[in-house]
Amino acid sequence: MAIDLEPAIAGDVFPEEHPRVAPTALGWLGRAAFVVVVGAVSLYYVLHFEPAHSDVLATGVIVGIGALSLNVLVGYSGQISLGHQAFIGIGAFTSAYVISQSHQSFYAGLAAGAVVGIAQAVLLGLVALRVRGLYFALVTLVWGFVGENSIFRLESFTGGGAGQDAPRPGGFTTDRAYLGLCAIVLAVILLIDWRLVATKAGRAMQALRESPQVAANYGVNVRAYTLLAFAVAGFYAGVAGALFGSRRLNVVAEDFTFAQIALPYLIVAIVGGLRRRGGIVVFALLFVLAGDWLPELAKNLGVTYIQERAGLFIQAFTGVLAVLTLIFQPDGLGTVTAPIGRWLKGEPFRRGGGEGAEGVDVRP
Amino acid sequence: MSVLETTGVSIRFGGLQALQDVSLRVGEFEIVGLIGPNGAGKTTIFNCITGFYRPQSGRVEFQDHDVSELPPHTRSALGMGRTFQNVGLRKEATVLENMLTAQHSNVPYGAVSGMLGSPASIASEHTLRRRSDAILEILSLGHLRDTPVQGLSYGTLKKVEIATALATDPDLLLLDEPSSGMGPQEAHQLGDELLELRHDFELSICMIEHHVPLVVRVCDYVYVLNFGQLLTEGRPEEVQRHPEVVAAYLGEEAPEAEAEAERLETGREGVNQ
Repeated sequence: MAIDLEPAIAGDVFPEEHPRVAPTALGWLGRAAFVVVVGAVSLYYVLHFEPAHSDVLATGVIVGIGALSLNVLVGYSGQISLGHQAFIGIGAFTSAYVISQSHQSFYAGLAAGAVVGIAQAVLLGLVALRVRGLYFALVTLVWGFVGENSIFRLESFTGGGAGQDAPRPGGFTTDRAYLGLCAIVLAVILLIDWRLVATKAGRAMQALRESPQVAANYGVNVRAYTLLAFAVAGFYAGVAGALFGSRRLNVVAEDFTFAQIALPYLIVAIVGGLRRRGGIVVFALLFVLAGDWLPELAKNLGVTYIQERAGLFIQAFTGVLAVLTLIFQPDGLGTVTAPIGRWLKGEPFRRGGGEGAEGVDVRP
Repeated sequence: MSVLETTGVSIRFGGLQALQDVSLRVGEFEIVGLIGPNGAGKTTIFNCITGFYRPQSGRVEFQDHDVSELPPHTRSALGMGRTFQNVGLRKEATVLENMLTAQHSNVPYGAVSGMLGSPASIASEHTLRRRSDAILEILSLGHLRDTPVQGLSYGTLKKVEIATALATDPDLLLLDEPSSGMGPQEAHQLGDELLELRHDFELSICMIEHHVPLVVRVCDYVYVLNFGQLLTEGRPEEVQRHPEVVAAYLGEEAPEAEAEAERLETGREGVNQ
């Protein structure tokens, strides 16, 4: 039924893919050196300082995965979630339940967290097909509070006030090793996210964001891909939750509030830069490290007022930063990280976000 | 064999009978013109054909299958390629990204296998790119490949949109005012291109067009819509001389209310952004 292009355009007339300006050997060497230096500095930071720093970095990695989950909804598909404490919390409690109540391995817990994360997100996605815009944002807000105040108070599921134990897997019990595990998971998520955007599903989601009519006209099943966007976001969030739980070793409901999860994660996604996964991960790390450094810095400077209220200051500061980002620099920190990313892939160094540039590259 | 056939399509928006009993037919490899004054319901019939509207009565048959109940994306996948009056492109993306997105239905790997980076998906992404480039070259748009859609001139956008419609691998191309935003010279050139595209891509074409010289030159058959009803139909040179057509186009200036009705209609459609 569908006519193939090939007969109309003979094989040899098929143009080659557009040539790229390939870097010289020295250029590649420079890029390799850059990666080595950044890697070495990170490794030095992890190994040289107290193990406590590894724990902080692990938190940063987990926040990064959570913010990438929001990026799939807000950045790619044009949906919204103001209830991510439920997304993350359900992953954490499911994983902890599977590990300590069903006596399965950590990895089974991780998988269960991911699956339940997908299921609850798809449920919300079904609502998104019927309720749109501001009203849907309200629904997600309600869903977050339902998680916070009802689901996470079910004693049989969450262990009540004492929480649910979530031991780390063998071989990753120290903070440093656990950071390594979190980093591996982040790397896998980043790979999935990259391929998502570089292939059919990501393009379909982004078309939905820009115009559902155009998407449908291009042959995109609007309902199916809306649900897929929620499924992917739920998957990331479930994984982040499982990692979150075992980092703390014990999952308690108090950790999963709007103010501690949903809002900061959304801010990290925005300031890091929507559709800029590099910017999001870098800013997630900076965000968490700043929370760690600020009290120490204030202590050294003798400003006890700030030292005592460091958390508050960080939150207020990032809130302002988010507003400024939205007004002046919609690409967020991605404005800085995107050119570096492109340069590492072998393109000449050009400044600016280069909208969609990440999505175009197919080279693995 | 007819590629497209609508039978007695009627649709009403509140108090406005937008279409009444419209039956038209596009034969294989035909270029069919759809003309009529503003507010006649030309875009509305396109929306009924492509599934963005469900007519209250009547049938739409595509390649001898009843597609009346199918959603727009399925009709697109079956081989209807469509352009919009006010340009239906991903405006935040580049021309190439639009071309890739438009090939959605013909991507040979699954959404999840693409996300997981299956080797087949990586290989076929290269093929999709080559196909995009081939189509862009045919339409002399190759130099715009990596340009963001936002910022291109209206006339260029109309051509890019034809390229994306071709990328969906259509059997039937539905063009909504393809020559708008183009000068007479460009419109003439567009006529040549449409004739070539029909040949190269083995297409049937149905187009809404105001530029009469273009219609007369490329169309095999013309339908004239007025106030949601078919006024007349026939070969372009016959239709051109039809007294009612002359009256509808030249005799009576379309009153304000009609233009208003069209605006209302497009507002409700939400299809023309």
